Amino acid sequence: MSFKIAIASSDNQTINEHFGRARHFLIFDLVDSRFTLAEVREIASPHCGGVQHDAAAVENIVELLSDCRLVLASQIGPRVIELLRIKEIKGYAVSGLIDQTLARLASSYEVKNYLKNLE
Amino acid sequence: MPINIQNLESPTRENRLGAITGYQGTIKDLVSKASGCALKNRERLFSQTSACSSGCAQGHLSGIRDAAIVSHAPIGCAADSIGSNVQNKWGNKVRNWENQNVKFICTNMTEEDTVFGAANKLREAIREAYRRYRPKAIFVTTSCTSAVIGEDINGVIDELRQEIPVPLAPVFCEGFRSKVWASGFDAAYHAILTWIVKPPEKKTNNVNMINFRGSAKDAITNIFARFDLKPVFIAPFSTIEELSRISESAATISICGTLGGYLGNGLEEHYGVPYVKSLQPHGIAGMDSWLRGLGKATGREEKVEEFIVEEKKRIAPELEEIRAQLHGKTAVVGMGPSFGHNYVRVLEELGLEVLWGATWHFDQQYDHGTCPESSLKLSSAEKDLPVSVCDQQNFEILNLLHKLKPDLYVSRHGGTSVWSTKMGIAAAMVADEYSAFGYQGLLDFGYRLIDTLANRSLAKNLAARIELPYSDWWLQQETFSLLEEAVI
Amino acid sequence: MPNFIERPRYFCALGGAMETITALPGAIPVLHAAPGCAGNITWTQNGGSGLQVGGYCGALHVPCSNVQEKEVVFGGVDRLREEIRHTLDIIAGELYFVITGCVTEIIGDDVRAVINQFREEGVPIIHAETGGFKGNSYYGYELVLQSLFKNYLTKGLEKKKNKVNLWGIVPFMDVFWRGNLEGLRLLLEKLGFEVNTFFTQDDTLPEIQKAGSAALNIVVSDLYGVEAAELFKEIHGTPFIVTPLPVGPSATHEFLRQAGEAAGIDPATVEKFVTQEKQRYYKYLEPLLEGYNDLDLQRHVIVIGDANYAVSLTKFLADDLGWLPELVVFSDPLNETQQQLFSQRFDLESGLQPVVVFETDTSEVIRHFKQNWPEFHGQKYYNAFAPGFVLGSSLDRELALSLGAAHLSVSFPVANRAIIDRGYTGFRGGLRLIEDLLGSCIAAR
Repeated sequence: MSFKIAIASSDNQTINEHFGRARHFLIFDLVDSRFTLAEVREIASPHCGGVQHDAAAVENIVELLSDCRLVLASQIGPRVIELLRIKEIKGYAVSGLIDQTLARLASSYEVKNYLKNLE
Repeated sequence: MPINIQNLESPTRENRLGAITGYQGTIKDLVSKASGCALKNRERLFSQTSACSSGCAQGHLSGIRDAAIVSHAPIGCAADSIGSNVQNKWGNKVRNWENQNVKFICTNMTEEDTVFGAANKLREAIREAYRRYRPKAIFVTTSCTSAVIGEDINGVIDELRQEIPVPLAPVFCEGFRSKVWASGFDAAYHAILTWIVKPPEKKTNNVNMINFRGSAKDAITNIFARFDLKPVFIAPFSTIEELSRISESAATISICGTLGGYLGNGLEEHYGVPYVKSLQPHGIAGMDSWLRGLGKATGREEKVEEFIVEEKKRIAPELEEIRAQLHGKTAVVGMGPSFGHNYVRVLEELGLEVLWGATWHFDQQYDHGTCPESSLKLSSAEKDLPVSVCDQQNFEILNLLHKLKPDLYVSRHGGTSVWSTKMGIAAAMVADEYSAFGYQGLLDFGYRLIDTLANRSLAKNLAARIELPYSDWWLQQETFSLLEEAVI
Repeated sequence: MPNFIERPRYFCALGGAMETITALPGAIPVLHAAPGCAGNITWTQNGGSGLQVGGYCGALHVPCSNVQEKEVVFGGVDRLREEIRHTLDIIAGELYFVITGCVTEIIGDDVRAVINQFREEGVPIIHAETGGFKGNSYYGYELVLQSLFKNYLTKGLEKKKNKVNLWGIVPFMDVFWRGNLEGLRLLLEKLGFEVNTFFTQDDTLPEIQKAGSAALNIVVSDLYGVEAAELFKEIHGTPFIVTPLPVGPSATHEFLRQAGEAAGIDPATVEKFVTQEKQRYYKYLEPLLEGYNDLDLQRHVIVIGDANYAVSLTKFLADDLGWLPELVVFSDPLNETQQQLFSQRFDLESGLQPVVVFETDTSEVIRHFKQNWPEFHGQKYYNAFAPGFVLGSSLDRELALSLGAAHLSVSFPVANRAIIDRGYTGFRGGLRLIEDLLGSCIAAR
């Protein structure tokens, strides 16, 4: 399995979108020890159009991202984190520049461990 | 979130109940935000150590009389078995049981294991635990290390299920998963629910009594006998056989809302055993609510009312005397959320004025979907009590005590009341969960507080000579200045 | 190292490091670790360190970066930097000592880089890499000493004759550490030495910083702190001697003889002093001897202890008290070379030859006992293990009960005693130990 990260961003520069409001996720893949953009995955109906959270819509989004290991957004609710966890995906609420975050992750223990296990 | 016993792991309290560890405000504000799902956690810029899930899970499970623990961890994570052993010994003594050490093996993960994995060690340790102790079940606990390096605990256990004829239960309690160490209790109870509890074969008059160490077991047994009910104390000092049958009980009740919620709700959801969702039995209002809840769940309302009236009449004169002696004294409370919000009420029942309630975390809701009953009750009082939430951050507690200068600091959990003493403030540590149990307990606790306040010589002398490790700068700062703003 | 350990009698390296730093006057331990580590260490101290928990800034007061899963993924260096920054404002200390736990080491946080940044700002801060999986608490002690010697002590100082550093007694793991260190200090001072013991009330950080000017180092342990002594010699040029922990007159005599010889003190001076002290010792003991004999207070003993106590208690019992140590159990995990070294420490003056075993698991001790002491099968003549005594830790009470023997907790964990400044080292220490041993024998009187 590859090492994919899904990031919720509206400007393609920063992690600035809520998980529930994202209209698309940027999917990055680990290639030659660096994360590069693989695709832009559209979300048919974001689950958070206001106050009501549509449970089925949430599950759909989680299912859509099930090939990823990490999901990053500026905000992710605890219930979503739990749903992701059941699928062995880690979800984190973070902010900042996408490039910087990915560079950091590329040299993290998580990635190093993954690469080591490939050998 | 329903309690799912098909999953291997229980969700952390943050994810399941919206638990927070950073807040400052008032009880009415706290409850109103929690009820609207609008409470956000505040992170700290400086932190001191707290406790971890693994310590709670292991400490609790190692008290089961005929179970063994295999801790898949470096040696340090198992060292707290030394502390557990002391508590275990006390429990054996008061029950007139033969003294035995806790049954605990640690896989002693080394640096090499973090690189190459330690599945073999785990396998051998589980086999050895069975060989040495012949336990009726083996609980395998995880650690930060085993989790970070991705050990397949369940894989190893699955391999051994055919070979070892007792339940093998994984307990996912690694410390870094949660800031709320009570997540460890949930992990322990999840393991019990998933691997030990069997579907009911009959119904009994037993009541599952979820608690820590059970010092009031005789009193509870006598009280329940009046209602033709029999308590089964869970989980320390119970047996695997007893635990396997708790689905047959008439009801589940708990000494602590934090401790009991997961198992209580799980038994109700899966086996129809009603869980009593009331205040906890500390002080009069707590005991009233608790017993009435039990009465309602088991159809013994009349007998319960009789008992309540009798007891309140009995203690009334003595309680008046105690209140007169404690009148005008001020206190600050520092405890877990269930104990904390209940004990604020207890101290007020004894005539003290509570200046502040600090709790170690706060669950926005319990597993049955409502805001904790004890918090709701407190917020419905006229006074809007100032409260804060911290995971035992002593630097905040000390700053608070320095500013408020109460007569008394009443706390639960070791390592916090000592600082009050060093500041010259009398401290009472509620180590025994039954310290203010019910009607008689309220009186006993009242006398204890009177004694504590009667002779403050150690605290005063110590404070005059001991140096606190805080800079003068910190003690002048606003108590919660190191809490970041909540992220909207 | 054995595969698994049953009911450990120690913490991990982080635990040992944290305890050691807590005992260092004016030092603040700062943990870069998961939230529960120090909490668990505190509970262990609560249950096993003779009611001694924490200190100036220890136990649940210890600043900790409390890393969560997020830091595991993104790295914890920023959190650490923030934590140290605020610690400097909030906690008043003379030395800030950062130590690491399992998680932060596995993920490879560059703690050194963070520390160097603060050192460049002039902050008195050092660190040690003490991930729990590196070893047990005795190793954590070793790592702290090594870092102190390398990063804190002033280098290139001129040597002062008769100035010595003494270590090898691990704070909180040896619950008698304060009394033990002070006892040896007082003895050496009487012989004209100037003594630094690092961890007592009389030690200060400014003095500790000058420890490099000692002409001699004394390590009162065959194991704990020996590597640190080698490092000290490499960096500061101070030679060292290793002696077992001296408990009672015989061992203390040998200790003072060796120390005196290494420091170039006239042997006649040392002998005169020892003779005086021995006379005092036996004069104190004199009134007790009637009771000792008439009440038949000699005992068969099983000694269970760490690397220090297994040796020193056995020697005292055999060569000073006249008891009969039958079985000696080392509870530390020791490799083959270490086991051989320790087996050689039982050339006892009294000629006794106890059986020596190396066993980390509490419940296995009874098996060793049964293998080495004939069981009663209804024989006409049977030398029972009675009256018996188990001299070990509080975990060994189960064994004592099963053998109908008396018991005293000395080696870690000590749950059932409150210890403040009691010590067993030296001549006076031997008297303290006799009081406690015989007190246990007659407790039901």
